[in-house]
Amino acid sequence: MLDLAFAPSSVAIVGASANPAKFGYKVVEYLQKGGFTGRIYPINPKAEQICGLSAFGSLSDVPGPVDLAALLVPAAQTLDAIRECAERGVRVAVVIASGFAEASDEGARNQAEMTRIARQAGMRLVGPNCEGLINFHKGFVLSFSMMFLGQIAGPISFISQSGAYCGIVSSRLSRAGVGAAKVVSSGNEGDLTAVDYLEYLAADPETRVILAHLEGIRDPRRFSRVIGEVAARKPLVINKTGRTETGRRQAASHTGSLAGNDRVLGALLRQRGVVRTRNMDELVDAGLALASQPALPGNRVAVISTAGGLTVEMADLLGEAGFAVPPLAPASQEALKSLVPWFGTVANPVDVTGAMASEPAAVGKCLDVVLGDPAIDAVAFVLTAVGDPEFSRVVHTRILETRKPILICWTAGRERAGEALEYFTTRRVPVYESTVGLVRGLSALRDYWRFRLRGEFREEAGP
Amino acid sequence: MRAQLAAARAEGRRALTEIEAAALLGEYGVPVSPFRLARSAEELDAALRAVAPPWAVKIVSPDIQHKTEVGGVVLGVRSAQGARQAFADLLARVRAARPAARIDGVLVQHQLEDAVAEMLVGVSRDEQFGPVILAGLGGIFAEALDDVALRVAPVDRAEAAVMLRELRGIRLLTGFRGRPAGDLDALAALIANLSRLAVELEDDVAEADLNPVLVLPAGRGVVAVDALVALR
Repeated sequence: MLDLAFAPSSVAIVGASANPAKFGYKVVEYLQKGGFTGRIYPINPKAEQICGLSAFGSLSDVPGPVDLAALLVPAAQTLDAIRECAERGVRVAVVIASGFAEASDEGARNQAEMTRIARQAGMRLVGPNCEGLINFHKGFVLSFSMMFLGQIAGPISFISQSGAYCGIVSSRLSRAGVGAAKVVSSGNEGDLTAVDYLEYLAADPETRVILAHLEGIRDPRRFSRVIGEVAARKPLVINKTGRTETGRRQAASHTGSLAGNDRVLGALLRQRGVVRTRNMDELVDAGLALASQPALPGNRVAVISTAGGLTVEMADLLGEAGFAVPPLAPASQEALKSLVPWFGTVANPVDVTGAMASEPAAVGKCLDVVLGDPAIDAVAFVLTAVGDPEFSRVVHTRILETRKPILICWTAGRERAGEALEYFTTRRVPVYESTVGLVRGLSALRDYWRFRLRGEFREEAGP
Repeated sequence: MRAQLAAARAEGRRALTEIEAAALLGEYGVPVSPFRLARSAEELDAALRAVAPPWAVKIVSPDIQHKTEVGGVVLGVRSAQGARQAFADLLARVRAARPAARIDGVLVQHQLEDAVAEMLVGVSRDEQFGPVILAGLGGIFAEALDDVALRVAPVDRAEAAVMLRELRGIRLLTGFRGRPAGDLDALAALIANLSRLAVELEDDVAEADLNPVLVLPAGRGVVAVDALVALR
């Protein structure tokens, strides 16, 4: 059924509008602009045409099957619209309107009734109170938000109970050159829940990494089981907000008072192999690393940079995050000495100095030395102001050749890094814009692979 | 045991007595330090003959859950004379602190003195995910230092071992500054056994504290000295 939600052949827009300022217009417009190739049926009793398409007075006037109906009508008209969808044999209804369980007791009753009608008819519901759903590989953009247009398709799928997160996260994934596969705004989860989407995406071949932003958890015992099954198949990152403890009961024991709700959730995610994040930046950084990097077999990192000050900062941050930045093998240090100017450093961190920003070939050789050191599991490459795409090409060839993760942090910003940075983005290699971002990405890799590899993961004590 | 738990709940009791708790834990393979109940001076003498010194002497009351808070525990008792004195003092203190509490007697328990460390191992119940297992340093350290490891049950021995390694304080059990290493295998086994209890008795048991669990040098096991089992 969820196949039909993400890849319908025919879509009806109930509450479509001929007024370009209305959501009911934008949904049709964006479906077209996104490149949807199936049939689009705008439903509006008054309009003749919407976005150049013939409008229909009601769902019953539509010829042929309707796989999916998007409901753009206000909350008060939603129940009637749902009944019509059920009678018409619609398979999936996406309810955009707000004003249900999130708003009032009456809204909660209407939401329950809507779910009852849908289930009786064998129809599934997305929402209510949601921003829509997107399948970037099919050019299927079902949303009133323009955030989803012009994005590249990629390997990361995203489930979000917050509508705002959907557009921002997916556009950041796209901007980094990685991109999203499927995005769903699950809203109030009146029928389909985050767990349903998780199960579907775990089996989806276009999804290699799953991100989820959750505020509350429906059906927690099933959630507890399913997240473990999902994480055993592909990386799963869960961003949970609402951590502040509220309404905690009086505990009779020490244990009870120590086992707060958020702590328990954190423990559960860890024991199921789910990477946990606490805000949007962490979520995006984790997703980018997991989608773009090979396996990380241990926690020993080499820091290499054209800027000495940043190597020290990076080593500090890595140490605080539980990584080791061990000295390179004597042979590696010797090899580096012949490449790096005398005022650089070769132990680890490796400061190749700014003088080497204009010597890409030598930097490539330095990278080869570091990657070849058996005591190193991953490389954190910190760049400042390099404008030469040749530099990027040299680094990129190593990324393609090596089996070790190489994470790049480019602190100069997109404006200054220009073409050299674009070289990576157009080749789907994400570049972090801050040292902390890189460490967040690397930490997500570590959390995931430490769980997957269990005893095989080599862990060395930090500084 | 389920029937006993149900009976205790039907009486409106919030917790098992220490004696009941020890029996329950024993059934699940959680080792508890040997003890005898004494309700009179004669029974006290019999208990002192049955249990090897040194002794811990503790109040037993269905109305008192945190014994130390009412002066209901005397530790390090080494002579029969000292035990009789402790028995009298303890009853007097508890009666003064909690005049309405029912008193079943006192417990004479063998006190192990060569533990490497004291741990807290407990069960809690999360509204969403059910039974939760927790481990930390014993006494009040887990709470004061905010150093605990948690898992949603069930937890097997391998997972329990991973869980213990998450504790900052675990260094105290792995041969810190020349101290002997503690029996972490036995501690992991205890955690797994407690997890089984928590899952099977989820409908009756709300929370449990084994505090302290004494961790003996490697190869010599662990033993729970004090147990609180709170009912739902």
